[in-house]
Amino acid sequence: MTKDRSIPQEFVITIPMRDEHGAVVGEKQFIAYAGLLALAHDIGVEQIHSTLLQVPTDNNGMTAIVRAVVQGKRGTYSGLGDASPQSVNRKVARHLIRVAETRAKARALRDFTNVGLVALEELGDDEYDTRDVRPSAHIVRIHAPARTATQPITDAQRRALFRKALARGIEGNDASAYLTRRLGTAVERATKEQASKLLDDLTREERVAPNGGGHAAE
Amino acid sequence: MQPSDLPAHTSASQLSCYASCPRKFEYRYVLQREPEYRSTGLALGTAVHGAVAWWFEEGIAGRVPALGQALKVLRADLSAALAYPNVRWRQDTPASLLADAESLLRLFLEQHGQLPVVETEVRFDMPIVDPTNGETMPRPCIGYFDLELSNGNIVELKTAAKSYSATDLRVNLQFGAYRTAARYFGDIDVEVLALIKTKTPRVQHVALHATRELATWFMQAASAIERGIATGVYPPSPGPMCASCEYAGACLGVQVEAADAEAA
Repeated sequence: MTKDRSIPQEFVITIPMRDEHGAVVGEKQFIAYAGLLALAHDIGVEQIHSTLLQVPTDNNGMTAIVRAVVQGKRGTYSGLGDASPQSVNRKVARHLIRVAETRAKARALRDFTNVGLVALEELGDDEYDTRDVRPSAHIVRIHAPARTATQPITDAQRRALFRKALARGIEGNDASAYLTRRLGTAVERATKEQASKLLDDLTREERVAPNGGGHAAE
Repeated sequence: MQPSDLPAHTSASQLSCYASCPRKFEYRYVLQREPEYRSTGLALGTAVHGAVAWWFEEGIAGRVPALGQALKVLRADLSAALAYPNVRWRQDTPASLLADAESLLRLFLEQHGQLPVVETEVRFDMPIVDPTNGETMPRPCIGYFDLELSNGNIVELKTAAKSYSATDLRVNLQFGAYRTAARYFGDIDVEVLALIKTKTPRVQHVALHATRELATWFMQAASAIERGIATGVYPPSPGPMCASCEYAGACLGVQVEAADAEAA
């Protein structure tokens, strides 16, 4: 099934493409690193690791190389990023390792979030005119869900919670009270995130004590 | 509001919603507002549906479901379906609603509990093509068939307050989508088993014939609605249905039923 997701519109950058005379011949869209990060958190990123693979020295043209690994509910994704004085903005030329790390993380996050747009931070200084950078006026947005922290519990989550309570032999008003206690709020006031966490907890507990209920509610 | 904010797929529910009131469509699918209340009728239908699906899933898993277990699942699903901040009870009470749900489930299982179901909630995905000019709409239509039988045919389960008339069956967009999808996927037969919530509940059994004429009608209607949706214009459709609309507060600034009661 197609997963709905969104690219936060404010993080999409449209850059005019210019020919050698400076005339605009088209435009291209990029995503800002901050947008990738926001989207990754929306869809359950758990860890981001980075490793410096090459220290910039005179022998390698002052090129830093970093590998980043992103882990989360969607799996594990990695990316490589490099940065040298020739491939970065002059303002950040003294921070090659940090730029390489951002690029590596951006590449891994793009795969993790399934975003096809190149991150702006991956580009070199000579690939665009910074004066052209402006927020996108429009983007093909696949969906516009709110963040799970504020989204209300879904129908499927409600049902799954009550069935898990039933599997433990807890029914009716007792089930509502039990779920309220476990959620820390009434079921009808719970958020999607709270419900998701409790479902994960209950599933984990079932694995530990599989005879906590029958198959009646599963 | 840009059309790009729409869900990536359309569905029979989206088409029906837009056809009944474009502004309601905007609240539900574009702005994704939570409904202001949950009706007991919807809760009952959801719970019965869930318990029936559980019954057949048990069979598919090789277990023999028991009525007592099914009733427990029904009660759990009904509690879940009523766990909303605002439930509009009207003449129902928790006890009467549970009794109605139990009698509908018992009736269905007595009459159709032995159907040879091989899968529940079978997803379908088909393009919407305008038959007048061959244009394919940008959003495909997705849906779920409730039950697939061992012979490949489909059974749709409904709960309704009254029987479907011949006109209902012909112009209902949901049925139109089912019969068109059935034709699209190879002339499958679709049957509707409607649980009618009359004083003495009964099951209405209808075969949805997937004729070319009816599929063409659906595609024409769906294409026109999709074009309307794509304009991003969502005017209200004021009328008697506003009284029971889940977005009346946002749309009209007042809950119509409450205002009517106060006026009376």
